[in-house]
Amino acid sequence: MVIPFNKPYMTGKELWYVSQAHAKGHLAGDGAFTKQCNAWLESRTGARSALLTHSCTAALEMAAILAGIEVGDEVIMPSFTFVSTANAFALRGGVPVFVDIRPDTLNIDETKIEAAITPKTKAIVPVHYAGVGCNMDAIMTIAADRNLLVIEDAAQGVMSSYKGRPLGSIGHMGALSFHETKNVISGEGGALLVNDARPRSLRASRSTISRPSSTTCRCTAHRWGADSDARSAT
Amino acid sequence: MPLHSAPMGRRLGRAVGDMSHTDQLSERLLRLPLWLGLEEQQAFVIQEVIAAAS
Repeated sequence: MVIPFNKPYMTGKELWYVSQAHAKGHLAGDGAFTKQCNAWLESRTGARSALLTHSCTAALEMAAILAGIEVGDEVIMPSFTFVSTANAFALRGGVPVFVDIRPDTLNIDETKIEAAITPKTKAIVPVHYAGVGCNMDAIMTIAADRNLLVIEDAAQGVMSSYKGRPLGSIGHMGALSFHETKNVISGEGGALLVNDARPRSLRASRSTISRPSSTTCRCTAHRWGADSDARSAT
Repeated sequence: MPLHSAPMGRRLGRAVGDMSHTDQLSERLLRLPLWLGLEEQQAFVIQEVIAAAS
């Protein structure tokens, strides 16, 4: 007997919705369905801005750009994760700094993060393995103390929560996945959640993120102004 | 293979501190089928896993 590793779950309404988009003659992103999805995600997560992307990988890569990751910037993350978590930052010239996981949740061990912080550290990327939340209270406290950005890799965390807060909505940004292997799917797909929880020093800086007009997210025009303020504080 | 041990991970990044939980898990991790509707065949999956492990 051959058992597939995964079988995508269908609600039965998919083709009806596809036919509606077809009838409207709008098949690219940022159409009526994109807007509905973004609005739904914003209302469910409380994110300041939720933007559908082509994948969680794309959302992480956008987050790396928005975070202003430059050559040599260090990003703390677990080693036990999908390669996209590290790639997104390595593509900008960032240095993934791996720390161990906790044996109970298999999530990043928050007690090991402090020791990995250097003057070059710019962000922490907690990965919520299997939809179980990382210790976000501890991680957000460290980030606030050390003026670091937190980008949640919530690929497996759609509709999961940590102490009542949706995963992906707790850090400064969060990335979700709707890949075929997830519980809520779009074949390929993801979302970037941009939250409104920046440290004061970042909020005071000149650059801000405004809502991109397209699902392809014109990120380069809206970089997080983390450099001067955050770096001078560490 | 965990990222900190992979060639690209070693070249582009670095590990800080003891990575024993990550290392131990990577040696023991076995991904199994899990999807809605698997119920009909899950007894077979469980049986095969037990057979393979014993």
